[in-house]
Amino acid sequence: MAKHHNLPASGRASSHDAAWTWRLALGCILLVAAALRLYHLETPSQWWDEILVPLTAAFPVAYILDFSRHCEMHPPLYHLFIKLVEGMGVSDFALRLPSAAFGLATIYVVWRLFSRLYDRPVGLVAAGFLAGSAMQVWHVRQVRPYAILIFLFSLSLFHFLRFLRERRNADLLVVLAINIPLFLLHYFTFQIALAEGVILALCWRPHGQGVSLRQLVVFSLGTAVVALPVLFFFFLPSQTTLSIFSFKAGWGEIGQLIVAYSAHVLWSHDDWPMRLGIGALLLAGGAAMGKKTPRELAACLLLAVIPAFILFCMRKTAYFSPRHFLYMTVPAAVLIGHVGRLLPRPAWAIPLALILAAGQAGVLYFGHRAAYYDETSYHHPVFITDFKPMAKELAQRLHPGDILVASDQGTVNAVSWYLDQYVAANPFRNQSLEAGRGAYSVTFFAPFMTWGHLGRTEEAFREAVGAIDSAEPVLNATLYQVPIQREAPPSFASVPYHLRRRAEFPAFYRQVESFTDITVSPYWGGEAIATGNNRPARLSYRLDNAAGPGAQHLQFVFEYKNQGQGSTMAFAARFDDEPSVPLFTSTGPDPAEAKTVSIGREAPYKTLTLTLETVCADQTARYPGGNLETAAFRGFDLEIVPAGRFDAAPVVADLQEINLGKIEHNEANIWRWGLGPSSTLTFALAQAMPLWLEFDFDNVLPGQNVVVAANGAIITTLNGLDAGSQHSLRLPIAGRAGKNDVIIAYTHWNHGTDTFAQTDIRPMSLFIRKLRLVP
Amino acid sequence: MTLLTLVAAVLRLYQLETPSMWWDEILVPLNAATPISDILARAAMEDFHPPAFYLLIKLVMEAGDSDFALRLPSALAGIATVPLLYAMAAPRVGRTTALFAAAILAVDGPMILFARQVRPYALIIFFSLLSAHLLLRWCERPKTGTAVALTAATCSSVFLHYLSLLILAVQGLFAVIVFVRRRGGRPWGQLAVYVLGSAGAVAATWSFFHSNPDTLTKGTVAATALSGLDRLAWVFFGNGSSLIAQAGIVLLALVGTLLLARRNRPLAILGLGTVAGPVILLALARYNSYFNAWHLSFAVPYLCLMAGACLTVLVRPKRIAPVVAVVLGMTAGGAVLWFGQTRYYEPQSHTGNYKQQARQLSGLLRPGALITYSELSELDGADWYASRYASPDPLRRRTVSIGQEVAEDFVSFGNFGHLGRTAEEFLVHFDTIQGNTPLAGGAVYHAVMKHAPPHMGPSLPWRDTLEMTPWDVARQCDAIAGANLVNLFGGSLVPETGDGPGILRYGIESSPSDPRPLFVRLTVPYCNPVAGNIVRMTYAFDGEPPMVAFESQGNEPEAVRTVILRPDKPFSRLECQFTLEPHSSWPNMTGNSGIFVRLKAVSLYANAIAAESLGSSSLDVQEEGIGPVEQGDAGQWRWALGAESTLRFTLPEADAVTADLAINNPIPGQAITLLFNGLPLADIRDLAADKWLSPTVERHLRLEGRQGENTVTVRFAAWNGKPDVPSATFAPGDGRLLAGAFTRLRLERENKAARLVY
Repeated sequence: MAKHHNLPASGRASSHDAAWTWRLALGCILLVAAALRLYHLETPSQWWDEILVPLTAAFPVAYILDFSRHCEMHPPLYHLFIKLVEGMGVSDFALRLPSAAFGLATIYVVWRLFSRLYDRPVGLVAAGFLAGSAMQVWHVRQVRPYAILIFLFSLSLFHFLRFLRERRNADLLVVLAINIPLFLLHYFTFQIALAEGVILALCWRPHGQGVSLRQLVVFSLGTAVVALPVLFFFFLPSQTTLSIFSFKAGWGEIGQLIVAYSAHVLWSHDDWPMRLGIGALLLAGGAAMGKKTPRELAACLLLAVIPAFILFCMRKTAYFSPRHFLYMTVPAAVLIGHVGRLLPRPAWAIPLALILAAGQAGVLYFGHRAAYYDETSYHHPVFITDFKPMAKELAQRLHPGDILVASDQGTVNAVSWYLDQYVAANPFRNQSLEAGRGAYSVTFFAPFMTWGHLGRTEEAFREAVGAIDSAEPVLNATLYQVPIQREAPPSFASVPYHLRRRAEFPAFYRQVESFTDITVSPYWGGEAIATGNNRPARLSYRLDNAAGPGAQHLQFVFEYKNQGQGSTMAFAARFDDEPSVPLFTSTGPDPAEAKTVSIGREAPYKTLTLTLETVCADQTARYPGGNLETAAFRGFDLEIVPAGRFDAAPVVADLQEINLGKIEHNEANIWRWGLGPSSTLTFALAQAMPLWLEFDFDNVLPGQNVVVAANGAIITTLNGLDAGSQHSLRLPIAGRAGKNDVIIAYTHWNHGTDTFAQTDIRPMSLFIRKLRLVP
Repeated sequence: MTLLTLVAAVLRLYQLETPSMWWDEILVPLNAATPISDILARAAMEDFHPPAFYLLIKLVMEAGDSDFALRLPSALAGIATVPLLYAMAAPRVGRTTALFAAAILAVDGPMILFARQVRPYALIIFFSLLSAHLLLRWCERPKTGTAVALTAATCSSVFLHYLSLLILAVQGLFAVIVFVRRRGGRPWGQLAVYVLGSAGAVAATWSFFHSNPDTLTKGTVAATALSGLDRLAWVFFGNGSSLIAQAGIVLLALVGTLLLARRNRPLAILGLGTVAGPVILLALARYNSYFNAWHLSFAVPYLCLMAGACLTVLVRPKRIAPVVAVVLGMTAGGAVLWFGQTRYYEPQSHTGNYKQQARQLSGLLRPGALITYSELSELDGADWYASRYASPDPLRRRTVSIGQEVAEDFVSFGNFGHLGRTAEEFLVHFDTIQGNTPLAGGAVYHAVMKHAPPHMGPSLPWRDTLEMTPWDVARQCDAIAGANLVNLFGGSLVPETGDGPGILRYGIESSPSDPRPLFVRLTVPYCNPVAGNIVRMTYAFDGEPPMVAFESQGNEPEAVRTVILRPDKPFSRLECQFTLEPHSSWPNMTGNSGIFVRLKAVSLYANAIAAESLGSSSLDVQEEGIGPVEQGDAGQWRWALGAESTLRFTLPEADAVTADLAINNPIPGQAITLLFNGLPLADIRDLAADKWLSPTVERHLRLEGRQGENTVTVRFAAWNGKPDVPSATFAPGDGRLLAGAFTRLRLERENKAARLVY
C-alpha cells in the first residue's frame, strides 16, 4: 500500500534524503532535456511560421506593430524580442536558442517550484515528464513564442495554485504581472485568463474561507488593464485574426480536433502505448493529487478544460493546432508528478523520473528522429518549400546579373532570408537591365508548381509565356529559362499616336528599355515591383519621335498601386538629353490606382524617355514576409495629339480633371468622353483674370441638356440637343485668384437614361472634340 | 553589478555572428569536424594546444555550427567572468573596488575580443579566475565541496591550454604556502584531492605536448621579461609597444597590489603572483617562441582589480564611487559600441575574409571551369562557409569541361603561390586572360587555355613533362576531378578532401613515323607518407580495359616510380590516369588530410625499342658519371665523366641482363675496367686514341642480375684535364672530365614483359 507523505508547507522543500542525489537526478534529466532540445538545433530549415518571425523582426518596430495589427495572428512581443536576438546573430541556431533555453528553464522551474509547492518527488517526476515530452521538444526548438509562453505559464501556474492554497495577495499580483507578457505573446492568454477568473470565482467565499471579493476584483481589473489594450490595439484591428473566427466548423469536427490535440499533450506521435502509459500516469497522479489537494487538482483540470470548451463553443478550427494546447503539458506534468507521492519511498521517484525522461527520449530519438533533427524535419504539408535547402541550391544555380521573376513573393522572401546570408549579392534583390542590351533570358522561379496568374497548370503557363529554353527542377521548384527577344523602341511618324505598355510577363522584359532592382510579380496582369525596401528601383521606357515639328499634347494614364506608408512612386519624362520633367509622384498610402497627367511640348524632340522611380518604404506590413508588392507599377497609356484641343494655357495651374475620359483617337477624330452626370475642371490662377473656355462637342443622346457653370455661376445652358448635333462654344470665364472650377453637367449618359454602348460600362454623355482654357 | 553584467553581455553578444572567423578561429571547427581520434592525434603531433577545446567545440557543433553557436561558449564565459570577478573581490576588498574592477573588465577591448572568438582564452580566463576565487575561499574556510570545486575549475583550466600550467604553478604555490602557514588543523584530505586532481589534469594535458623544448628559440632573461611586459600591456591596454603602457603596467601592479594588500593581503599576493609569476617563470626559462599577448590574458582580471583599487582611492566622495563605477562602465560600453564598430562588430573585424569569400565565390566561379587556388589552406577556410552556403559545395567536386578550350578561374588569396611574384609574372603563362573579379582579400582571375594534350611523335625519341601547374594541367589533361593543385614548390596534385579520391587523366596521342615497336617510360614522382593512403596509376592503350601500372599504399614520404610500357602493337592513344585516395586521416592544420597524398610533375619518354642505344627500354637505370646524349653528324654519344661511370638498376627478382657497351677512347694509354656488382668483368689497358665515334672497345655481356640493386661500373684511368697525366688533356678548352664517349650504352632485361615498373 502506498505510503502517504505529509504535505510540506509551501516554500520549504522536504528533505528526507541526501540533497545531492536529487540534484544529480535533476542534472541527468536536464542533460537528457538539453540533448533533445539542442541536438541539431541549427539543422532543420525554418518553416513558414518560423521564418515569418525573423523576416518580420528584421523590419523597423513600426512595421512589426503594423504587422501585428493587420496581418498577424499574434501580438508583437515575440517579434520584438527576436529583433533583439537578430542583433546578435541570424543563424537558425541563434534564433532558436532562446526557445531552447526557455524550454530547459521550464523544466528547472517546474522542478524548483513544484518541489516547493508539493515535494521533491512531484517536482522531479514532473520535470522528467517535461524533459522527454515530444510536444515540448518539438515546440521549444522553433522560432516561435511557445517556449517563452510555457515558461511564463509555469511560473504563473505555481503562483496561481499557491494563491488558491494560501490566498496571499503577493501570489495574485505575480499571476497578474506574468499575464502582461503572456497577453503580449499570444491571444490564447485570453482563454487562460478567463479560466483563471472562473476558477477564482468558483473559489470565492464571502466569509474569508476562500478567495475574497476584493481579490476577485483585483484580478478582474488587473487582467482587464492588460487585456483590453491588447484587445483593442492589436486583436480587433487585425482583420486576419478576426477572419479566422468567422469560419464555424461543425460540432463533431471541433470536438474531434480538441480530443486529438489533447492526446498530443500526452505524446505527440501516434504511439498508443506511449499515450496510454502516460495517460495512466496522469490518471494515477490525478487521483493522488485529488486526495491531498483536490482544489488544486480541480484548478489544473479547469485550466485545461475551460479554454478547450471556449474553443468548442466558438467552433474555431482555422489556425487551431496542437501547439495551442502546449501549455497543458505543465498542469499535466504536475498531475503526473503526483505519481511520485504514490511510491513507497520518496527516493523511488528518482528512477521513475529518470525512466520517464530517458524512455520518452529514447522513443523520440530512435522512433521519430526524422521529425526533429534533419534539414527537412519541419517540412510542412501546406507551406511546402524547404527554404534552407532551396537557398543552398539557388546559391549555386543563380548568379549575379541574372534576371529573375518569381511566382511567389513569400517563398522569395523566405528563401532570401537564407540567401542573403549565403551569397554576397542576392540575385533576387539585385537585378538590372542596361539600355541597349540585346537578347537575353529571364529565369522564372516557380516554387511548388505555382505560376502566379500566368496559369494554373504548367501547360497553361507555357502557353501564356511562349517559348521556354529549359526547365530545370530544383527540389520542389522549377527554374524556367525564358528567352527574351528585345523589341526596338517604338517610333511614331505622325500624331495622333497611342502607346500602351503593361508590366506583364514576359512582354515587360521585351519592351522596357532599362531597369534597376525591379522584378515582375506575375499576378493581376503583371506588376513591376521593387526588389528591396528603402532603395530606389528604377525603370524606363523609350519612344522615338519621327513626326516632325509641331506642338504636341501628351497625355499619360498611369496604372499603379501604392499602399504602403511612406512609399513613393515618381514618374518623370525626359525629352532627348534635357532635364527630366516630373510628371507625378504618388506618396503612399495612395487610394488611387490610376492617374492621368498631361504635358505640352512645343519644341521638337527625337526621343521621349519615361522613367519611374519607386521607393517602397518598410512601414506598412503585408503577410508574405515583406511588403514589396504594395508599391507596384502596372502600366501606362500614352496619347500624343496635336496641341490645341485639350491642353490649357500656361497661366492655368494645377489643372485637375474629373469625369473626363482619356484622349482617344481614330483615323477621323480625336476626342474625350464627357462622363455623366458631370465633368469638372479645377485649376488655380495666380491672379484674377478673364479666361475663355473653348468647348467643342458632338451630342450623341437625343434630348440631352448641357449646363456649364464656372465658380458656381451658370455660364450657359443648352437644352434638348439633337443626337448628332455639333457645337462649338467659346465661353467667357471670370477667373479668380486661387482655386477655380468649371462644371459641365449632363442629363443623359450611357447606362443612365439611355444606353447606346451596351458593352462599354462608361457613363458616356458628350463626344468632346475640344476642351481647353485659354486667356 | 547587474547593469555591468548587462553591459558586458551587450558588448560580447552584439553582432556575435557578423565577423568572419579568422585563421586561428576557423582552425578550431575545421579540426573539430574530424573524428575524435583525429583530434587527439593532431593534438599529440601537430597542434600547439591540448584537445579539450576542440572536443568542446565538437560537442557544440552537434547543436549548430554557425559562428554564433561556435562563439557562444567563449561569449558566455566572457560575460560570466565579470560577475565572477565581482564575487571574488567584493567580500575581500570592498564593493566599490570590485565594481570598478568589473566595469573595467566589462569594457576592456582585448577581453571583448577574446570573448567573441572561437578560441579557448575566454574560457581559460573564466576557469582560472574561478579557481582563484575557490582557492581563496578554500584557504579561508577549507571545505570538501570547495576543494572539489577548486580541483574541477583547475582541471578545466589546465585541460584548455598548456599556459594554464603557469597559473597552476602560481596558485599551487600559493595554496601550499597558505597550507603550511595554517594554524590549527590542516585538511590533508582536501589538499590531496586538489594536488592529485591537478596532477592528473597536468599529466593528461602534458601527454599531448609534443614540442621538443630544445627546438624552441630562446632569448635572454631580460628580453623575455620585457616581452612579457609588452604582452601584459597589450592585453590590458590594447597596445603593448608604448613605453608608457609598459611603465603603466608596472606602476599599476605595484600601486594596485599595495592598495589591495591594505584590504586583503592574500588576494593582493595571489593577484600579483598571477600577473608577475608567469612572466618571471617564462623569463627564467627564456621562452620566447609562440609567445603572444593571448598567453597572458588570464592576468587581465587581476590588473582590472588593481586598477579598481586605484580608482577607489581617486574617486571622492566615497559614497558616489559605486555610482561612478557603474556610470563609467556604461559610458565606456557605449563608447565601445559607438567607436569600436570596425574593431569588433563588422564582417572583417577579426581580419578574416573566409565568410565573404565563400559568399562571393559561389557566384564568381564559372560553371565547367578548372578552379585553382593560390593557397589550399585558405581554401579550406573559405570552404568551411561555402559548404554550408551552397549545395552542392561550389568549391568541391566540380565538373570541369575539357573541350577545345578550357576555362580556368584562379582564386588568388592575395598572392600567386610560387607561380609568380606579381600578377604580370603569373598571368603571362595563360593563353587568354578574360579579366579578374575582386574577391575579399584577393581576386579571381578568369583565363582560358587552349587544350593541347601530349602528342607523341612524329620523331623519336620523344619527351614531354606533365607539369602540375594551373596552365599545364588545363592544357594537357583530359579529365580532372576531386583534386586540387598545390601551387608551391614546383606544383603538385592533391585530393580535394581527406574523404574522397582525386583523379587526373591524360590522353597521349601517338603518331610516330617509326614503325618499329615502341616503349614509353613514365617517371612518376609522388609523396605518400601515410600508410593506407593510395597513389595508383592505370593505363590503357586504344580503349582497352585499363590496367594498373602501380599502386602505392603509403609509407613512402618521397617516391619515384618508373613505369615502362612496351605495347606489342602500334597504338594511337595511351590513356594514363592517376588516382590519389586518402583513406587514412592524418593530423593536419586544417583537418584536411588529403594533402598528404601528392603527385608531382610526371616525365614522359618514348622511343623505338631498337633505337634505344644509349639507355634502356626495360630497366630504370640510375646513372652517375655519365653526361647527357649528344648528337653530331656522325651519330650520338654520351661522355663518361671522371674516374667512374656507374649504372644502377634494381631488379624485383633475379634476372638475366644484357649490357651492350661501345666506348670511344680519346686518350692514348687509357685503361678501362668493367665491373658488375663489384666483380671485374674486363680490364683493358694501353688503349690507343680512337678515331672519333669509331670505338675499339665493344662488349656485349650477359649478366646474371640479382634481386635488388645491381651496379655496372666502368672505370677510367685517365680523363681530360687529369692533373697528374698531362697527356690525357685532349680538349683543353672543355672543363669537363671527359674520359671516353659511349656510343652504345644499353642495359636490357631479358624479360620482355609489356609492363615493367620500378
